Parts: sequence; structure tokens; C-alpha cells
Amino acid sequence: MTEDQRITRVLACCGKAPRSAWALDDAEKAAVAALCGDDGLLVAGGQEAFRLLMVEHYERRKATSEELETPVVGTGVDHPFVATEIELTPAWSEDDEADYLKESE
Amino acid sequence: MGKQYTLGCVSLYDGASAATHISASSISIDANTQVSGNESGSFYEEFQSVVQFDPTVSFTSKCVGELLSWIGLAGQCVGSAFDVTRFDVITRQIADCQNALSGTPHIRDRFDDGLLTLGSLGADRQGDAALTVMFDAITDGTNAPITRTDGVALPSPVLAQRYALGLPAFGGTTFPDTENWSLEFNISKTEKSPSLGSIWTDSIGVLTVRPVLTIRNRDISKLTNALLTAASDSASHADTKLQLIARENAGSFQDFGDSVHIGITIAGLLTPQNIVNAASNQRATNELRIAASYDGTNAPILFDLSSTYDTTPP
Repeated sequence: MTEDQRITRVLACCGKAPRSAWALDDAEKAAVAALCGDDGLLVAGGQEAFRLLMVEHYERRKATSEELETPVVGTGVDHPFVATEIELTPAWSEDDEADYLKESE
Repeated sequence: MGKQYTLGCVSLYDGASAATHISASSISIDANTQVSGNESGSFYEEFQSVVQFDPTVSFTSKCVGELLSWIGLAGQCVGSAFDVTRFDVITRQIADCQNALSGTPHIRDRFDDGLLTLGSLGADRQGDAALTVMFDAITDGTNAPITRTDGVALPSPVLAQRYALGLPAFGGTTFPDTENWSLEFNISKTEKSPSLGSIWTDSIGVLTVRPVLTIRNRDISKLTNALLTAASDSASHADTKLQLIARENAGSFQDFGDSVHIGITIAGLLTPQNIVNAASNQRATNELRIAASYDGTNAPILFDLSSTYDTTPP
């Protein structure tokens, strides 16, 4: 099996989809691939080893990617749902309401 | 003149914000809006409030391989910090007469946060395999869980895949007379309740995964006396395998030797459910079931999405 095939097998054995490997760096790929036995199943202790690798992986991405720390907010909202107003109304003061209506115009 | 719409597609965005557009055979978005009343003794309701707005999506698609490359057995979180960053549902506006509309008259419902989970996967001898996927939308803490944009173009290209029922093996025995099988993933999730001061849910998580495979089989002799006596048999990833054969556009099947087919192995307990079901003028069948379980190392169900087709499984 190639390294990519081993990684895919490990991900499946851990309940994850193949695309979850997209952001692994070379060292992480090698470490994940090493958890795959020749039968295509995890080596003993593979689940826990994979979990620890993923914890480190996400920590690395958080430390190096602004994207992970900045929530993606929906764009192009032409028609906000009515529920938005229903939810906000009780908590707003009259001044807030006036500001909101002014911004909406 | 009014506007009318029909089925479009779904789109999934990867970590680089690149979208893959996937065809679906049915899509439903439920608002799950809850309204509570005052529960007083008054003759008519006198005080109503919306207490929960909790959109969920359910869709069925024949693009089994593509969807399983995005969503694992344990589900897939959607959000800026995850491997799937966004989920869209496109609804196509119908033309006034016979032609599909060009331009941007279509509707996009966008979800930036939530959880994708597998619902069921089924394959039938006569038809194509179909996968049902569930999506639970949540808020990011500020924005509504769904944003609708009326006026988008149809995505392109939209991926289409079709898979046919392949030869399966259960407990080391091939079942060439399989009529159909259905895999229910039975994923239970945390109860959704609005965050404080909101009508939107702000968290969702997988609690348990309890997949069950049901096999309907024409060859009732496969259910042996030994299996009936024991009432069960073990199934492992080494001896139990489902296969889906990739169909070819403008052909029949893709080459069996190409790594484009799907192999699914299961560990668990094989049990008979229906021993014989026979009726006049009909082929008799029986039904077996495998309740999948953790073998101590591997997930209960393993998907191999780049498998060759094995004519002698397992």
C-alpha cells in the first residue's frame, strides 16, 4: 500500500472521512500512515495514537492559521430570516431598535 | 407571474474554501420552529412566542463515493475550524416553459456551522445505491444558522455518480442471491436546545454510533442449520464485505480492476431475522442482520472508496 492508501485506511478505521487528511503535513502523514497494518487495519493502540496525533494537528493549525480563529460569517444575505428579529426584540432597548431600523434603511 | 422551484444540488466546501457540487435525488430543509403558548385557562391562546428555530437538512444522493469522502462514520463537523467549512443547498428556479433558466434566478441556503451525519445507505438489485445524509445547523453565536440568498447562478459542474449492488460476503460466505441490503447508521446526537437568550442552537455532537445492516436474500439455504441453532455468527472486517460497483456513463460498469469501486467491511454480530418469507407467485426470501460493533481497534464499519471490484469476496 502507498502512504496515501494507508492514511485513508487509518482515517476510515477511526471513523473519519478521507478528506480529513487534506491539511496534514508530511511528518503528520508519515505518523498517521505508520498506524496502518499490512492488513489495512489499525495496529494495536492505533485509535489512541491517532487521537493524540489529531489533537497536535489541530493545535498546529490553530497556531499557524488565522482562518481557524476567525469564524466564517455568511455573506450575501439578501433575506435575513424573520426569526432574527423575533429573537432580538425582547432584549433590545428602544434606542437599539431605532439604531437597527436606521441601519436597515 | 409567480416563481416556482425544483431540486438543485448540494455544495460542500473544503478547508481551502473550494466547493464541490453534488447532485441529489431529494432534499428537505426543515425549520423545526417551535412556538409555545401560555398554557392558561383562557378560551383562546393569548400569548405565543417562538422558542426555537432549529433548521435541519436531509438529502439523498447517489454520489455515495463522493459523500463518503467528506463524511466519515463518526460524522463531520462543519465550520471555519473544521475540514468542511460550509454547506449549501441550491434550489433551482423553474423556467416559464421548457428551458432551464440561465443567469442568477436560483436560491441558495447556506449553512456555516453544524454537523453532517450519515443516515442510511441502501443498495438494491434493480436500482442504484443511495445514501441519505443529515445536517444539523447551529449558530456561530452571532448569526442565524441559515442564510438565504435569492439570486444565485447554478453551480457548475455538478458531480454525478451511480453505483450498483455488488457481490457481498457475510461471515466468510458469499451471498450471490442478495436481493438488497440497507445500512442504517443509527447515529444519536445531543439534544438540541437554544443557547441562553437565543432561539438558535449553538452546539451539536455525536453521542453514539450503532450501525445495523439488514440483508434480504433469495437463497434461503444460506441460513444454515448451524446458524439457526446458534442464532448468531460473528462478522469481522476480514470476512464480511459489501461492495458497490461504479457505473459508467455511456457504458455499463467501470473496469472491475480500476480503483473506483466501493468496498465496505463490517465487524459485528450476524443474526437471522426472518427465516423464510414465501408467498404465491413470488420468490421466497429471508432476512439477516448484522449489528455492527467495535472490534477493539477499528471502527465498526470501514469504507474503502478506491477499491477494485472483488468477484470472490471477502
